Amino acid sequence: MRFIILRLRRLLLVMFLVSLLTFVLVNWLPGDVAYQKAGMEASKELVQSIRQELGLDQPVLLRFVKWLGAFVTGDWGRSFLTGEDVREAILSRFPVSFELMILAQLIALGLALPLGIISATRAGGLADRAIAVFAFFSLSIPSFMGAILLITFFSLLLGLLPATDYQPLSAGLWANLRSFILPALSIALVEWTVLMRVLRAEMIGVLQEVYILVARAKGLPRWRIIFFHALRPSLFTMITILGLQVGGLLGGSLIVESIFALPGVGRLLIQAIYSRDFMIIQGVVTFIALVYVLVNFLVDMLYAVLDPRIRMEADHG
Amino acid sequence: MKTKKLGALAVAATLAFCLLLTLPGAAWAQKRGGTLTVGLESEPQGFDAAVVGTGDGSTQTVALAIHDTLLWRDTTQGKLLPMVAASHAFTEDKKKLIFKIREGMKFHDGTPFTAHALVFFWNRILDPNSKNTIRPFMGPIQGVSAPDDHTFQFELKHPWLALFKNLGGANLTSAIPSPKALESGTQQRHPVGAGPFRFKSWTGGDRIVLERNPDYWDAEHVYLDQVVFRFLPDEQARYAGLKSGELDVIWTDRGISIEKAKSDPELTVLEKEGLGGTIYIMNTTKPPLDNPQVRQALAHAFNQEALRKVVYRNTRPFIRHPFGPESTCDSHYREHDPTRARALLAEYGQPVTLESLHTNNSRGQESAALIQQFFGDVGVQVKPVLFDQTTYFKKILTGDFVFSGWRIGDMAGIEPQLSALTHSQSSYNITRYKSPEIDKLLTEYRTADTEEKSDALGCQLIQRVNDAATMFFGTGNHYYVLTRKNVKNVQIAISNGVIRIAEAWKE
Amino acid sequence: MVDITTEKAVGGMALSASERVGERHRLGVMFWLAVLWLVLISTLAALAPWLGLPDPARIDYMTTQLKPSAAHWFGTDVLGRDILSRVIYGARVSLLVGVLAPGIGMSVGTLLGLVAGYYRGRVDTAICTGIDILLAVPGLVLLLLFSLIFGGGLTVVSLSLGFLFIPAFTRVARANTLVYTSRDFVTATQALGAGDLHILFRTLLPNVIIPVVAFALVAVAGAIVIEGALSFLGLSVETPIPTWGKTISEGREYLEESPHICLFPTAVMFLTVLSFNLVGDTLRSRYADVQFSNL
Repeated sequence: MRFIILRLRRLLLVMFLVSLLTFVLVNWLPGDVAYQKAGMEASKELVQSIRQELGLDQPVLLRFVKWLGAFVTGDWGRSFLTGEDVREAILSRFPVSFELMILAQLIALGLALPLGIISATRAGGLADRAIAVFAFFSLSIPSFMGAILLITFFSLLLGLLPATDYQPLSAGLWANLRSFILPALSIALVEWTVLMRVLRAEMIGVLQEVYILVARAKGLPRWRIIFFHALRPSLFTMITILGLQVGGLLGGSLIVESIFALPGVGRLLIQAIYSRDFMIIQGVVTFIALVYVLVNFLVDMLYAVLDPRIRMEADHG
Repeated sequence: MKTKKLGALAVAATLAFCLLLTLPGAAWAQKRGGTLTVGLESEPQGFDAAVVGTGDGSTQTVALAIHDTLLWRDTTQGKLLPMVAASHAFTEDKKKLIFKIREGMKFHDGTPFTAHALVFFWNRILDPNSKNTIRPFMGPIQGVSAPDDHTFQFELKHPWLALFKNLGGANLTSAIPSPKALESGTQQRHPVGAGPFRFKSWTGGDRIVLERNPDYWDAEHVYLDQVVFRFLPDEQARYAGLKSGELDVIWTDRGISIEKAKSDPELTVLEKEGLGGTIYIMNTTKPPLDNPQVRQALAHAFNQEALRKVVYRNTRPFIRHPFGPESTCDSHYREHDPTRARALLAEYGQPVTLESLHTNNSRGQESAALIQQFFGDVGVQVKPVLFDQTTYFKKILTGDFVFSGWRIGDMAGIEPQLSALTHSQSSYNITRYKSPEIDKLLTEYRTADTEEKSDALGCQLIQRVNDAATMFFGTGNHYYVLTRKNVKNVQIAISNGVIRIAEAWKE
Repeated sequence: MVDITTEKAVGGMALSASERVGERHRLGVMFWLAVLWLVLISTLAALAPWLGLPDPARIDYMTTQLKPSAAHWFGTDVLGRDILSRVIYGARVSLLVGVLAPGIGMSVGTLLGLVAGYYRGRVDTAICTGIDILLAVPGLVLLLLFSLIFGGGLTVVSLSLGFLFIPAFTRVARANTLVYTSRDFVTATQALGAGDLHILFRTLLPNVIIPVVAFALVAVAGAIVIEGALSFLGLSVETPIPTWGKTISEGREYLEESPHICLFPTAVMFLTVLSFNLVGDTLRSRYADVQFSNL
């Protein structure tokens, strides 16, 4: 119990500091949304009155406190430029980013599982080496580069998959999924390598355990041993990292969302940064941080539930 | 026997076929129904003119589908068509512009469309307490009024041709919204107009969906059931979408797309040259650009042809003035002449270095590099500085720059912009060049009551500008709209590359 | 937060000797090829001004978008600039940022990690919370904000990126410090009455630094990628200095007609990142006692 309380306290503290940090940073951005709003006929008086209206003339900390108070009650403000409600803007785009993240992880898993198992069971052999090399190649392709290459290959040359035809679920499940294949793949190409290596390392360790030896001695077929005895315990860490990556991917999908024109949270953020839409930047970054911290927290809890040693250490450490 | 029967059948079939063709809505005439998907290059900013201003091309295009305008300047036929305004007239002294409004029109929310709706709309913009960006340009308007339900008039302080010209276009002051939507403050994100299509939904970052308005006064000429506007800033994505059939209509300014589309049997290319264009401005209060010789040298060092070729692949016109392709103005444009530039600089006698300000996107970077090259070739040291859009904006408007690029927007009535750019009292005079001669000329230009007078005076203005070399022209505006072959009757508006899809159809 | 748990899970899995041997042999040829490439690209980058390359910023609108030829080995881009030259000069920026940023992260991070791992308690909690805060904001966003606030430019980018690497290095250093602190030879040193500073810098640091350096090489790859992403988005170092990300981004628009503009810098960047990853990882598996999973 004490463990949970400690962690919860930590979570809140981190959230508070993150939002403060963001607020201050965004406030320092040069360029003035008031000039954007004032447009061509930007006289000093007009700009000044716009700033007043938006509350930009008050001291930073005061504005932060006001913003925080509103944020906690669910009022995340309105976009300075378009008047859109920030919370609505974020929550309506979140499902797209979320779908991208989940699909990316699924693809990563789909690559990591089989390749990890093969590597582990044939450790040191040719297959293992080949997979390792492939993993390195894959890892070294940054997501923006991967995105460009995938678009060139699959869209421009082969015309198989759409480059930027995002379709919402209302247009049909397949249409929707189709628009995520290339973007998810761009991200997955890096992510899967991490998962595979962890799986491989753990599985190698597990395969050396005594009970595996016993199973072999009993004459159980190899595939049975792998899938029914060795795999489950090996999945532990991989799943942990999978969870962590999901939390972190929200921020990492910025470029991919932009390149593939997916109406997600990342793209919203990039646009907001370029147009200095203060409220949106603040809302989105805080939201991303919240998701990341929450996911971490949940994974932590899960781990503690499963591994009593951790709980004990926290209680006594 | 059989042959006879077949023959009779054939004749009968042909007759029936001919009969069918005479019916309205027959096979190859306008086909009703279907959804048109348009790829916009940006998300609309919103639909309340008091919040957004006149709006950019994307905003105006969508607004045009939802709202109706007083008049419409049809560029293919070169005619001014009545829309909401069944007729219009000027008074003798040209100080009053009167419109007769059609009867029986309604907004999408049921509010009757009367002259009072127009008065409400315009008063909102003209309200001195309103902080919108259009009002400063509307100085010559004394007021608006509605003597009766179907008569609307502008009262002007003096003849002002520009207003009339711009009303035939597609900016947000032409698109008339429902007073109810304006009052409740929802017009910005839930536009209500009286146009051919009704607003259905706006998914932030993704698309806007419109559906046909069966109560439109001209509904029989509206053929589509639905229009979807998707926001796709990446041009390659748009082009790919058009090629694959996901999109029916897109804009593009990328040379390679235009070239390919022109020879592609599946696509149609629509184009229009506009007014205005990109300009390069010099801050005449900052040395060494306070010296006219230096400015003239820079104007001669600039190579518009090369810029056109490299940055725009010749898809934009060479311009010597901002009045568009139909103007015959001889504007005293300073031609590309490096020898003369060097001579002028030699006369000046001192080494010249300056910072050039640009936006931090690919166009901006390319222009920055070229400017550095052009001026470097005549011995001027240039240091390009690049910033994001909003910082760039601010620097220009506060005079925190020496040399930069800017633009004259495409509007049929271009006088208000030019006045704002060059009048000594204007806070938008970004070159900060003050000349009583120009001010006097501007007064005449603004109040000119015929097109000929207006054109002549405008030309004189640009002559002065080129003589003083306070700015020079980069390239003109030329818009390209690509559609799939089966999309018909997409019309390009008079300015800004806005398209009118009200009467379009798909085969 | 979770780093403890993850470390325990993976760190607990000691690799068997046969596994280690397998790894050593497995990457042999690749390893040396990678080293060769890195030496090549670094030398070219360092010697760039003396290689007789055309000016990478020299625009020549007569020779735009030329395919690779004898005159221009990698062809020219849309403004007529020589791509080989841009790639090599770009290497200077990428490598510089790639080395500086992890360098900064490593110096500060190792220090913080040592302190946190050795002293534990409040200091540890404070440092870990600081790390969590930095990690909660997406890195690219922070970088964007930094470069917009402080302007682009090599110094700003290196410093910001270095700042962002601190958490990762702190974690590596801390994890290793934790492991070593409990080892006998450290306890012995303490029993002998050695001061904290002595233990930190003479006993712990030499052991911790090895896995940290191994991690640093992988971080270099990451830094190059992030800098690439940053200049792809249009930030990072100003014109006319070319960077890999910028040339890739510029070439993207012309991918269909002149793919060489985009693909040559892509290939070079890919090979460099790959090489750093390979070298770093090989060294990591050889010398790291604590198997630290790639977080």
